[in-house]
Amino acid sequence: VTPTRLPRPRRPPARGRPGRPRRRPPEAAAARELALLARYDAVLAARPGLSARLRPLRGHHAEHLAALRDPSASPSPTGAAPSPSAAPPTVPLPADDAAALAALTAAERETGQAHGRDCLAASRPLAAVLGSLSASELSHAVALA
Amino acid sequence: VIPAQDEVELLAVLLAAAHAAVYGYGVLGARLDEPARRTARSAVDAHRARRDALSARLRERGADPAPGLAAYDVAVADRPQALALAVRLEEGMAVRWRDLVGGTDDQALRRQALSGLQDAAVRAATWRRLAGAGPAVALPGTA
Repeated sequence: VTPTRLPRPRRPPARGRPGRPRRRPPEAAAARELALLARYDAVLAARPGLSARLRPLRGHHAEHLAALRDPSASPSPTGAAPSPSAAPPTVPLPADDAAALAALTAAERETGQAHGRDCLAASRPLAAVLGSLSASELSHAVALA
Repeated sequence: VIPAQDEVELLAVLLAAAHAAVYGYGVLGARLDEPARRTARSAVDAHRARRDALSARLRERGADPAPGLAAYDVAVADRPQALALAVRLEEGMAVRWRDLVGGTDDQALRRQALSGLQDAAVRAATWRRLAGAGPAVALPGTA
């Protein structure tokens, strides 16, 4: 058995859209975090008045990325924010603060559920990280409401 | 299959925490007005249900679920203390649920633990919001 650098799921994921390359859980989760960071950046650029409310939550996602890159590492207190390199998903510009918050809330919920699904099939250390990430996104939905 | 002794220990720790949470909510709920009191009632119902599920999981594994203590050392003088205790209870439960998420390969048990972790983090965020406290930690269950 050749050790791999990243934990593998014990069984192939049942979900996944055809035509889309399958990603291993930490990579898929990191891609979701990058997409959320891009969403936050788009909203922060368009609605600067939401900055005080959104900055701390955006900071959490930067810490999530760091935790995914090293599941054994303890969370960094500063949460240095990497800048997303991936192009954001097509995000319609929010018409007002309420629309911006509603869109972020929906994205947080969706991401929290996706992390939760991957958590169930992951190795133990990764499952703990994905569990925390899932719980964090779902609690962000409360903070944004 | 290796006997999952560690699962039994994690479940026992969770059960003890759930007993304490049910007791703690009884004390703190009395210091809250509506609608926060209603939120506390629904939280205590949720903790009771999880406590009973934890007892069942322990029995399935041949272990004897320990009863709660007659009393716990909690004092809540006012609303701010009540909200602070609610945050503490939920964040403490999150740590123990996360331990179980990362401490079992049993799919049903991990699902249950994940749901416990998610609910605890969401309730902690709700109480933090009512308390006017800042948003929760980045990684619930690691505090």
